[in-house]
Amino acid sequence: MTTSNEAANRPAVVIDAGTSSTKFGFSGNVEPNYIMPTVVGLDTHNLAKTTSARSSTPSLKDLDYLIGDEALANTKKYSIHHPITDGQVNNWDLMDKYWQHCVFKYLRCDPEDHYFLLTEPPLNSPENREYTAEIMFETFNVAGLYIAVNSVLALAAANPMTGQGTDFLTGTVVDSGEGSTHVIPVVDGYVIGSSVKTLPFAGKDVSQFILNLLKERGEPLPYEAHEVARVVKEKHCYTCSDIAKEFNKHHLQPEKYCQHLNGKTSRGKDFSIDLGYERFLAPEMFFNPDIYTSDWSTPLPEVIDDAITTSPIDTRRALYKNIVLSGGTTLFKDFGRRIGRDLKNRVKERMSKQVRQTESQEIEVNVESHHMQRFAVWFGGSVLASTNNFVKSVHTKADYEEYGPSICRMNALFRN
Amino acid sequence: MVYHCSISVDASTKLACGAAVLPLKTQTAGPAPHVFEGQDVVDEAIYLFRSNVLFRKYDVKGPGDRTLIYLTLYINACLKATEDAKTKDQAKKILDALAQENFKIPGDVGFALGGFMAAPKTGAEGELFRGYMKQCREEVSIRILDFCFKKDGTPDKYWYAFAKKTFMNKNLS
Repeated sequence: MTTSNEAANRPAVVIDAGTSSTKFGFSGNVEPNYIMPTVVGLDTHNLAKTTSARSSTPSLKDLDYLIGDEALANTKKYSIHHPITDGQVNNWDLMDKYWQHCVFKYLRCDPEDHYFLLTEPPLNSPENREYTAEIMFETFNVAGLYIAVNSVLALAAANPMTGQGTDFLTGTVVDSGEGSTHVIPVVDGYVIGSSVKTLPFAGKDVSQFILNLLKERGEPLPYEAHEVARVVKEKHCYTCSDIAKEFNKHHLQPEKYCQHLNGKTSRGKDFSIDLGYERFLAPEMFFNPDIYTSDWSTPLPEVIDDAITTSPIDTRRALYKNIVLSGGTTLFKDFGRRIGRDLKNRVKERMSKQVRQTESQEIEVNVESHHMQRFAVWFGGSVLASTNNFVKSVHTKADYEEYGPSICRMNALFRN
Repeated sequence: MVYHCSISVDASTKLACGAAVLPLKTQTAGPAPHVFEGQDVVDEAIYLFRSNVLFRKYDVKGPGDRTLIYLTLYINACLKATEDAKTKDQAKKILDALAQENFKIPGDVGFALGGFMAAPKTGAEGELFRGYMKQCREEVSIRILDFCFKKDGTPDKYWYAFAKKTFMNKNLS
């Protein structure tokens, strides 16, 4: 039996399971060991058996499933299921299977020897934490468990070096992944639940928009058009400061701005398409949602402003000062600068309209862009799990056995 | 956010059904005041076309905006009409014909921008609108070809992709 001391000397396992992709690996690393889609591929003949996995007699057929990229590559035999929707687990059985493969097949570690740090979305119910704790301690027999809110980890990722004070635990997190975009104000490590705002579009909508623009122009897209759109989004897009000016720039200097994308399809054929204005129009949908959808018209800087102004008044300056980006869709070039500029203009306009011209200080608006944005949450987890205080705050197996799964409803915040 | 007309409208600018009769750099005869340099409203409409056409709603901030949105709709119509033209000359013939066509003015049944512009109060105002817009249409027909055709005479796909868009879901008839 491994004692807690030995687990404390080993790196913790950090698993950040999102709606679209899961990042997992060992703490102390700069990048996660694995990033793979959050999908479980089940053998179609065995669907009936999966619902009562733990109570029925165990059989080898239960072990016949795949996760992540392997599942997506074998869709002929395995049907795809998504255990997580909107950040929350909707099928605990599938999640259990997913975790099993993560730990035993990919990381190849013994969970008894390690502490585990898992992430949860803000406003997650305490019951979900209990279910997670039950699975982790009963099925995996982990040495210890800590469940962190992903926004707090994103804040820690942006300012990993600040050990003094708790400034780094106050800020606004703009988290934009594949499924949806959230603006989450966090004060002293606690999420202000009533001020959390959501935008209904994110990475997959940006890809769809690019695809629409390319199709409209009649570009010769190959069969895997979605893949092409994704490559365009990740490698060729950038944020501009003004679309009319940018259109003009593209018109006057096509050789500088219009790029080409050459590649091979999966069947070996070559394809070549031209890229033009979709390079800057795609990220523009966050600032002018009208160009993409008629369901939503509030630009992202305005949503951030609304989230902060609905927060307690004494926290607002700190929230403006520390706006942190996280998630793959925030990686566009100059995305942070554009948000900062638009938000500053909004704040200035509002201040200038105030009737009483008091001698108040100017509100400082600061948007942090950093290198770890793509998996900021995982990186934050890796950093926090490497600190000394992590060991004191994690719920150990001994605690679980004495008090039961309800102890995991509360995960204490700790500072470095 | 949509782009608005930046040309200043002062007390001396005439108004036709709410749209400003702004100066044009043109040789053709008509009610428009003349100007010889700088960016006139047709240049601005072409510059802002590809940005404004993406939006579904437009909030009018002044009479210059109404002229701008009429021109935006006309540019859209020009692109649609010349979509299949293979050479610049073919396109020029089509656009010349389009500019001379008899077009609707505010107050007519089926005028596309009925919500933005009121019917003319006097016959003279209606004539002013018709005369001014005819000049504008001719100017657009002349200038737009330099943009939507490349230097080697072939159509520029980055402009013709916008022929498929509809500005505020409206079409100029």
